[in-house]
Amino acid sequence: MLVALCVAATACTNGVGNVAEPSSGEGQAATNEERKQISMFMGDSGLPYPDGVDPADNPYIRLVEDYANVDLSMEVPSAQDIQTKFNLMMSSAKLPDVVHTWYSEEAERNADNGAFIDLKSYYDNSPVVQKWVTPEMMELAKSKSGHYYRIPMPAVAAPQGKGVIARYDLVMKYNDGQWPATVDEWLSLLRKIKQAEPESVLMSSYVEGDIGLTFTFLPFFYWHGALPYTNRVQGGEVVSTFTLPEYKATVEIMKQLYDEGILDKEFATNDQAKYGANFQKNMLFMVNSANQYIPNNSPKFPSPEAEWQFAPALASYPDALKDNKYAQTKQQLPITAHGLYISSQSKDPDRAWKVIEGFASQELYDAIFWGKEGEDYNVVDGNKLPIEGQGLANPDKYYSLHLALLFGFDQRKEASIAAASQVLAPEELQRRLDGLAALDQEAAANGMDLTNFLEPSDEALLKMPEANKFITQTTVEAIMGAITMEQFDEKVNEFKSKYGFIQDEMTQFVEENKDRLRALGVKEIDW
Amino acid sequence: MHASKIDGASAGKPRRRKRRGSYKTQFALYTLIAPVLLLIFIFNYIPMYGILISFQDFSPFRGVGGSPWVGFKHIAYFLGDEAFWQVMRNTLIINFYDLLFGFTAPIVFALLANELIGSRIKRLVQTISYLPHFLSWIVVSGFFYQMLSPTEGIVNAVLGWFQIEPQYFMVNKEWFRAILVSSGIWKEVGWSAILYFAVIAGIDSSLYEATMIDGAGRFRQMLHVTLPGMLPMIILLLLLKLSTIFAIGFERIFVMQNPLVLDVSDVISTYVYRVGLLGSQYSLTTAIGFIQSILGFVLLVSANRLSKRLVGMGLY
Repeated sequence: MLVALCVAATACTNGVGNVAEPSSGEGQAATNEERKQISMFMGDSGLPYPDGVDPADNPYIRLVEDYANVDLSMEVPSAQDIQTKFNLMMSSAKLPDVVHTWYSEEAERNADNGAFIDLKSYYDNSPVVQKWVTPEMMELAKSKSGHYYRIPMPAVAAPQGKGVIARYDLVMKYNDGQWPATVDEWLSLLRKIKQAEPESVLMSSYVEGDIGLTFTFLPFFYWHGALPYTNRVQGGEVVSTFTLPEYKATVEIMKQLYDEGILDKEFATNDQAKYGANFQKNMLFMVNSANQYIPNNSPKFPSPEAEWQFAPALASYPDALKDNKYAQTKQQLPITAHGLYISSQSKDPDRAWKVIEGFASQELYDAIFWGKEGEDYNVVDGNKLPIEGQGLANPDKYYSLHLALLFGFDQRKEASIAAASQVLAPEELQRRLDGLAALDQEAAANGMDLTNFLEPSDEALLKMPEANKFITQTTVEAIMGAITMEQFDEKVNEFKSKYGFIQDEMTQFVEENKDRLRALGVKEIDW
Repeated sequence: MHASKIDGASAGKPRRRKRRGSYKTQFALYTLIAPVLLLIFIFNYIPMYGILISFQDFSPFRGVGGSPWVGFKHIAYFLGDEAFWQVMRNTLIINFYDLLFGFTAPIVFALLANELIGSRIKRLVQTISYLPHFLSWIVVSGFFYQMLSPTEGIVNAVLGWFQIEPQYFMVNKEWFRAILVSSGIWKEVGWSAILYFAVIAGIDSSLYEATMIDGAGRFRQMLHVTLPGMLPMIILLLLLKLSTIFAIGFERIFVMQNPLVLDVSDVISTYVYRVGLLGSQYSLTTAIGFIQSILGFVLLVSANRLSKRLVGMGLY
């Protein structure tokens, strides 16, 4: 999730300083009571602690501890380990007082069995938390059983949508200084670069569990409105993109690119390390979320140092595409899957709530996003200007971002853009902001993504990983020539008969919840 | 016992004394084995109550007492799931190959290594053969992927000398099981042969001398002395191996498989990992484990009976 940002900051900032001691301020609570010991489980969200920094004793967590008048004992597994550790913790049925996780469905299922308490009454009496988390957000985080177990992380500051982000420097160099306007022009560009730089690995993928088609593998699927593992609403019915003619058309393009050696010959078996090594070799583009590309303090996007920009929408889409709107982005929820919970085993839920409030305190916000005046930023003409290499640009302080559990990671936008304006060429910064703004507008026009609201049955949840596996395998086999396109069609029919019930359930859900979904801003239900 | 036999004063009640002495000795022996039995009871028998959760919709927070009973729902689910039967078939096929080639390889290796002249060379061969055992499966997997890579692998480089087109072995369903079993043999053959080396070392050397006097060459000595000497150990390990034929190591499969070979590589342990650990379906995966154990138990008992009938040897 935030790994890319973390790597970016670590690799591209050269300022090394001490961890800031954020200023203390107002908002101290629970200070007249006895200081207590509270336990907490939290993921690092892909932002590991620098060597020597104690998760339970650093300037940032101390602000939370002082606010709640507690001593926190923290367990903070890395992002790679959190799913296993979270699941093991849940299966042990022994929980700390406060739990942070982004496995909200698992947390909700266990909460319904008694793992967590309903936090509505605490929330209703907490202006500190309400400042960041609105009642609408709480409604969105409400469990299917009608409980408010989770205090969700907001995502209102995030740039919306996702799109194709590409190596602007390569595109301009090999495409006469302009963006390709059609799929055919993109294909020509790939061939031109491959011819000029034969060692390039322009497109690849890596395997991640049941998902084997990722990032740089996806742009042509995106332009055909048929990203793997997704669904679309067409004629009032939810259909898997895998079963669409657009998907097949894209597979044929990918097969061609594979045969020409433009798509990495080992795309189906790469692990992240191999993929990372290939990434250095001119990988041209990928599909990614806008919120990963908030301009920051780094003069260039690292590894390799290059200018990455969101590609504009195509001037003309492929004939196979049923409607251009399917190749456009949609809005995300104003909350993320991250959330804070209080265990039903907590002996002091009131104090545990104070800890949650501590994560919403203004002192913590200032410390994370701006740091200390004179050390991390200066005030010029009434505006805060980050000092180069300091604040979140300092690798030794960047980990603090993962404590923005109630502000949202994207709240760094303002501080990051202020920092970027000092180190990026103005035209490059403008290109990035324009790219984000274009996606934002497109997302607003298309409304909320239906996926955010679907409630799959237990049977569907059990079969989804298997269905994804089927999609991966069939797609890879067709591209590598292990099966013919006629056999691919047979596989699509097999998919429909085996896993079609998942989409049937979704269609039924849409039918039964149309008014509610419309009210929530889901426009695609009428597509 | 010996003391009681020579005690003249107690000659009138030898039987009772002998029995009492026997109790004493047996008590000492039982005391010695008691901690082992206790540990087995605590760690192997008490946890068996967990089988109950395969008949419940188990939640750790409700516990065994509070979770609802659902009868055979989970067993019926996976027995009716086409995906389960595919992974069951793969598990049996891979285990069959492991049994056929992986089980026999250490026997052949031990026999051949035993024939090496010079104890230094013998020790060197044995030591080198152990080394791969200490590599983790992730390293072995990387090694095989690298070696068999169509672009950078040494195997395809050699094929290239003979004008043979590069082969992408790791994504080829026909090759995958062979590679998987070969990698297992390469990694474990030396380590698995240790027991056989120990057995061979314990064979009475006079037997070899006798066969030599009878005119037997090295091959006949191996056939008529070494191999029969190894037979009890081979039978023992074979029976233990048979009891695990419905199970297969997770790590080896997980790190070697890729999307193109899932049809032939997905096994019960990877299925259980996906459904159980990632999907938190405790009851379903316990039900699978339960049935797996029953099948393994039945197979072990049957194979033991068959072995006793055919070669007069068994586990018990």
